[in-house]
Amino acid sequence: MSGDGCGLERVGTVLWVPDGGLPAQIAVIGDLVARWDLLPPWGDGVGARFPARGPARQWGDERAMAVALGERLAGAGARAPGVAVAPGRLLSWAMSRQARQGAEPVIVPDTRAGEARARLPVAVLSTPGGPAALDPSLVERLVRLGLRRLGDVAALRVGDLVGRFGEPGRQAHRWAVGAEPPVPVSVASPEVAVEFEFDPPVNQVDTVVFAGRRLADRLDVHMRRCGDVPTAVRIAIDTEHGECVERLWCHTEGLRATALVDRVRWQLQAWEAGPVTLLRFTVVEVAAERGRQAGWWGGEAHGDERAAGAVARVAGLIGHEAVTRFRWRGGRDPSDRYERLPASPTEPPPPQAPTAEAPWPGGLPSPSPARLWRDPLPIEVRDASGDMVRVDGRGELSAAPARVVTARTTSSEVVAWAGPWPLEERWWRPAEHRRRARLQLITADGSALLVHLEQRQWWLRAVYC
Amino acid sequence: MVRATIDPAIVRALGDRLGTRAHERTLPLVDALAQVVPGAALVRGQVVAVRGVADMSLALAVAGQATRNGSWLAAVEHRGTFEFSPEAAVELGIALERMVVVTTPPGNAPGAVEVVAALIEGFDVVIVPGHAPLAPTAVRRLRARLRIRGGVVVVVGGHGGWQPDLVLCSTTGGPCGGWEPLEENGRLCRRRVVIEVDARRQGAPVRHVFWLPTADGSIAAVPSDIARSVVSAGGSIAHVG
Repeated sequence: MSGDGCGLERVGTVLWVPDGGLPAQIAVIGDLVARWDLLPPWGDGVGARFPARGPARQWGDERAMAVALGERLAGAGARAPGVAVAPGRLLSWAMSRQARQGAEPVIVPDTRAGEARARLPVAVLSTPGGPAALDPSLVERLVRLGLRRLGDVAALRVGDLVGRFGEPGRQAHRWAVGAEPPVPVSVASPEVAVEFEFDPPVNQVDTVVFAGRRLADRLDVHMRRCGDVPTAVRIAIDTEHGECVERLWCHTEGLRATALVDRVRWQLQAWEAGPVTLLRFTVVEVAAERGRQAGWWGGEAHGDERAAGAVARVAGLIGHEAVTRFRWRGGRDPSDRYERLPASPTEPPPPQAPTAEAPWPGGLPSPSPARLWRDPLPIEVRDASGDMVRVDGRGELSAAPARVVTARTTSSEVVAWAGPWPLEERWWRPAEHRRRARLQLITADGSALLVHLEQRQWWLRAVYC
Repeated sequence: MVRATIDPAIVRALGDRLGTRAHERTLPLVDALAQVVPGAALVRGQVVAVRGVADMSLALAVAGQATRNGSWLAAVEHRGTFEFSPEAAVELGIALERMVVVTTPPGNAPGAVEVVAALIEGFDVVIVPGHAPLAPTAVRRLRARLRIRGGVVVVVGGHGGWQPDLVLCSTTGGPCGGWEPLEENGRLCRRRVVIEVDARRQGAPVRHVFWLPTADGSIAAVPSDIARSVVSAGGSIAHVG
């Protein structure tokens, strides 16, 4: 991960004090920005975070967009709105706090992000409402050790931090160098909608909100059964006059029942319409459920505690990074769909794959090979004449594979093969563009291999064994 | 006179908290394997060795049902060699939320025995690599602990010095590594393997035919009429089904 902002999306953050006018202020944001998250409250204030690219394009540039947002929010009654745009959530949030002090939005270009982040005080890692949300006692200890700025933390070796503070130390280092933890991956949801008809039509906000509560609870039960949490929900309110006020509400951490009910209330108050005849929630995107606390270390089962004890002991023997668990993330590549996390006893249990999973385009279906090489081994795949087998732009092989040469065995005859299956990722980002062609090979001794061609070299990725 | 009654639910909960009850001397096995393993279950305190073309899949299949029933699994991999596949684990029935992977330096570096000992203390099932044998004294100590703790060790790819109580050895069950169907440009679908079950108490080893993996990545017995028609490359099938 580079430390200067190249890898991170440009994020807009705005913080303000609502002074009682929250629905109107939310309406301002909703009208300006297509997708945004409401941030956890801090002090008397609230905040919103959104990807900056879309709105900035609409306004021409980021500064114009930020100025417009601040002005409109202030016009809707927001006190001291501060807008900032910077790469990454942490820097953007910290800069929007600064922006509240001044009169102008703060825009941090990618090239200055590294310095700006290094200058941030270590306390931003634990300030309430901030994205990092680390334990304040960890921050206190860092400060007492003389590490006052994020740059000081970034200059340390992550191994030393982990050794001293465990997993929170690693997290502190990652935030300090700009390697933010990824947001949970959302996938398009299969059609899930719940609705409530009001007959006769209803005028009072509270009645509609009450029905919204019942709907949200019902949705919650359904989602939990699937192991998912909704991350984007469209709320539609139909009125007697045939109008429909529809808004898309998003939250990367998931919208649970209470959050949905709040949004029904804000939507009713912000975008007024006539008497309500229908309230509908449509789930547009979901992510895997996380944070089910019961049953984890010290939870219901004796087995959990025993395992936690063994994990702590082994981590003490060979290091925290050497004891890991899997967390579902999604992706096309067999080695990308799950990520490895340290099995630290303080983490909540990682979520597993959503059961209502839309198939990932380009993914290889089951059965899956049981031995993987995360760093694939270079090999040779040759045709009958001894030349390297190639794959052309149309995804066709130059010739049938006849031999495969791995580092250990000398050379094996290929008795059967299948593929190629092309995989192209991130074609819009030259630095990360990946083109791969995958093959399954069966050799004379009965082994089945999963290999791929990338950058004119064949690699052994996995063995079916 | 007032009679005090004891809530049976409380008694049950206390029993759970005290750990394994007296009659739970085994860990459950998936049906396909339960049909061929003596006792139809894994005996706690035992060592199982899995070998052959489908050794890793077998190891995961052996552990799968136990993890679904609440047991924890620790799987040891050596740094710089292969890694465990979470997808394959899920397909073979592992409850991934109860699986922990431990990555140790390759070979049997000093401290390797301590790591395995610590895992035996905490995990009902421990999968270990079997290619670099441990010293006999170490194995004796570990097995003693294993019997007390009531866990099961699964050794993959060799016996590793463990002197296993049960050996499952897999060989291909047909041409092309037993895979079918595999037309040109048709992906691998399922594989027939012959698994030889050799249990210390059983006498002669017995061979069975399985799909491992099936099309959805799990394990299933091949019906006896199809199995009978499979003639393995090395000798005939002693027992079908």
